[in-house]
Amino acid sequence: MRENRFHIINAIIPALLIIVFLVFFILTPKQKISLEEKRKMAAVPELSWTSWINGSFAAGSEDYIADHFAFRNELLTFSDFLKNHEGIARKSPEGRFVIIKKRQALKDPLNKKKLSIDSNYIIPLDSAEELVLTNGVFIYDSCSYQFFGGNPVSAGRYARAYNTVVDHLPKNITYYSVLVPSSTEFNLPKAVYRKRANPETKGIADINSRLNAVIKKANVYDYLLAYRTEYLFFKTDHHWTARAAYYAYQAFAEIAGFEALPPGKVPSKIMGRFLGSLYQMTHDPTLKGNPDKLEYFDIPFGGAKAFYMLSPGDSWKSCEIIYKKAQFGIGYGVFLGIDYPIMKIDGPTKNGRKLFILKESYANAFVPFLVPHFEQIFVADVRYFPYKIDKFIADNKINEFLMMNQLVMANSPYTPSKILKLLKTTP
Amino acid sequence: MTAFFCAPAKNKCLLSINTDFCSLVLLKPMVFSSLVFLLVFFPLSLLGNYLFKSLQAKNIVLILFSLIFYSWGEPVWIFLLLGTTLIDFFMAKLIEKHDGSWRSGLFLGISVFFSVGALVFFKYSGFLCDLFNSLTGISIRSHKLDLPIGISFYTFQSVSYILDVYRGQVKAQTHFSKYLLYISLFHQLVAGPIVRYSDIEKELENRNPKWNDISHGVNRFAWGLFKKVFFANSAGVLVAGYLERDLSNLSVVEAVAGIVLFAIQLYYDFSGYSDMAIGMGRILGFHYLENFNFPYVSKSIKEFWTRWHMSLGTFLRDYLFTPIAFNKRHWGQAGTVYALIVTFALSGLWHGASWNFILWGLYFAILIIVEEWFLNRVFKFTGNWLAHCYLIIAIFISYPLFYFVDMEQLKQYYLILFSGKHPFISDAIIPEIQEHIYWLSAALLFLTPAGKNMGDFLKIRLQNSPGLVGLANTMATVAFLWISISLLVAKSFNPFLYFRF
Repeated sequence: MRENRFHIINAIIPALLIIVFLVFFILTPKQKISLEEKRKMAAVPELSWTSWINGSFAAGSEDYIADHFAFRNELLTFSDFLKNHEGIARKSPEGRFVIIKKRQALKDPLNKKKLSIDSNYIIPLDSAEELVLTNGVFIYDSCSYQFFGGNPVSAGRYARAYNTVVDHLPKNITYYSVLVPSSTEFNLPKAVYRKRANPETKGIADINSRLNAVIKKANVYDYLLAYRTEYLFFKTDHHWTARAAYYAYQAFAEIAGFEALPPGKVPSKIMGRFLGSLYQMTHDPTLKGNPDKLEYFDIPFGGAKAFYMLSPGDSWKSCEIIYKKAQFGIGYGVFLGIDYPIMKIDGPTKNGRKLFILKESYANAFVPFLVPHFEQIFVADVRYFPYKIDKFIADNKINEFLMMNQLVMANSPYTPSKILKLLKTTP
Repeated sequence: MTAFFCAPAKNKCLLSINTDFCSLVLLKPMVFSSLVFLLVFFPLSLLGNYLFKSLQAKNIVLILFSLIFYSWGEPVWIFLLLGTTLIDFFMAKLIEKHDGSWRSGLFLGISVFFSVGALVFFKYSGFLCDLFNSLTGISIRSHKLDLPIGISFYTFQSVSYILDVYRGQVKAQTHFSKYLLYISLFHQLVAGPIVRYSDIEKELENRNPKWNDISHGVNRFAWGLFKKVFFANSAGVLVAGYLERDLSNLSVVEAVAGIVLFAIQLYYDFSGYSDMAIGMGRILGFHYLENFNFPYVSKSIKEFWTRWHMSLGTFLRDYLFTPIAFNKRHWGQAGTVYALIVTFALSGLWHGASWNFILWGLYFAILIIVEEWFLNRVFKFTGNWLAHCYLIIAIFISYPLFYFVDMEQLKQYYLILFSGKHPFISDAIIPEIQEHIYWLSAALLFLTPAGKNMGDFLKIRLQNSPGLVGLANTMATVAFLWISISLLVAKSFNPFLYFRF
């Protein structure tokens, strides 16, 4: 009889655990967006004959339950704890790779076309089609890195794409190129990155040597090198800091023919600390103990106004150049807010200079510095820009053109293909 | 074998990096170690079962849940399952009706033709087509068909039933619903164990689970889930790190580590699934036979096959080996050898439709012959330790045959081990082992009966404190569930980042 009591308890307590999970799953409000994961959470799957037959209901149900599981964050923290205690922590002076398993990649990344930016202003950066999970993040001394693997072939691909754009645009435009190096050659000891990554100076030179001679090339690398002891790259995020962007701005000013604002005129402000994308990818405890500091510069915008547009035919809607409400995990969102398909900034200087920037997210920290120097700046994200680029440039009487990419992205097959696509896109 | 156990790392690519991702619809069968199953399906099926008192209603609820389970993610093949079940049901009745006449043989033939024919068609048509093309030089276009989930398992169950009816060992079931329940029971439908009709015949008619059953069932299920999620899934990630990369850069020790981890993955994956099935059955009053009994502690291949996937082993013994050996008894020992080779070749083929699996089966047949011939006598002199070493080495040598479907990769792997041209060890392996040393130690410990023996020992020592034993049991079960659920939820953590290469 007594033994039976133990059997009853043993059967009921695990059942209660499942019931608690189930009840909380049903009752707790569902998160639409995960800021940590930079993606939309799965929606309730639609049950229909078709969705049952083609398996989408089954797949959707699993995703929905997984994404909204009760106490998900606590369970994730616990599973991280387990994973981090499977053995003796490695103390290798050589650093280590955290291999990111290709999970259900591309499940539902945030897509600008699907989202109402008005109602969800704080949308994470770097989303949509080209976003795939990386295979590995290198952790060294509590900082995260990703290695450059470009070569002359990939450099040629990027240069050809930019040259083709130049061939299609009016001759009176002034062209610039800014290539942003990664943190590896600035923060890692040579012995560590040399055997794992291709040299970035060579990667930049490979592209520059293949670019059309009319394109002016900013030497960002050397500028950053001069200040390498400063806080140029985030430790837990794959972006650079506003400080690094400031030095890049100085390099750009040199080729664009304006005088960069001296440091005294752009006082820096600290917004707080955050754990960035590479921490979210790895949940590495050493990164967690080394959060990033979010700094931005108080640039004299002089009444400049910023607008964005999502799709052709939409009206321009107001947005902010420095978005101070950027949240935990997407600290980099302080710069321009998100990667808008197209953004327009009406600057304070009526000098007739109209700059078009074709970029990815590295430019976001850089663009605010340009505001005082141009009458108008158009910031187009290469991934989402919905217009035919030559027509857009002609329609808006643009006279300067900057292509700005991080070196790794520039060497990916994706970026050149997206650039070339912009010549064909309608309208 | 189903997609779950057939070279797990090589499963069909459910999702690839593809810019056209919007059009992807993933076909995901429901598995026990999924959150949908744990949070929704299984609790509802239990609720449905306990809501009704009559056995008939319970059976109907179970059938409904089993059909939903089967149709989850792959609904089309449910008609195949229902069709072959219907044919087998009527054929069994006809066999019984015409017992002793030539007609019973005819009906047996018809039943086996449809059951095994469906299996051959879906699982082996591509392989047979390729074989035919290579033998004749003709180029017949083969279509790789999607394998209906669980077809390898439920075909064997229906064949065992039909043969048992034909042999007069069981009576033909008169209610279609009960026969359908036997075939479609979701506990064992997709990945075994292969349950004999005679094992659960009485429970289809009458079952009354006691708290003792439910409690043991819950424990067993939680332990199985833990084995699958904590050990097998983690091992799978590590296996891929060694064996899914460019093999030419692999050192000998890394190659061995990869296959050892694969052995761990395979055992915990399959035995964990069997534990879950046995546990679920027990909760509902079914008593399925054990499917694994610490196979890696065997002292011979012959013993290994009595401890590994026991339901398959006994099926092959009773329905293949024994009849063939009996048929060829006039050949003497050659008849037994012939039966052994045929049985193991077909066993290999059952695991997968490619040559590597046939080789895998034949490899075991040859080893058993060698064991019987002289090796067992050697081990009598040397003691058990050498027999254990032999078994472990023999098993580890066999697993590449199971893992690498691509024969070129297989060759490359064996060259790493035996050519002497590859570096013996790499710098990375020791720190990698260190990083997982606690997990690895636990995984190796529970491959042996040591953990079970320890538990039994404590139970005896604490027999005067049943409360303590009960508490420990409950705590362990809750811990297994909690850890498993955490790890399953963690799989859904899916951050996006920039494209890198």
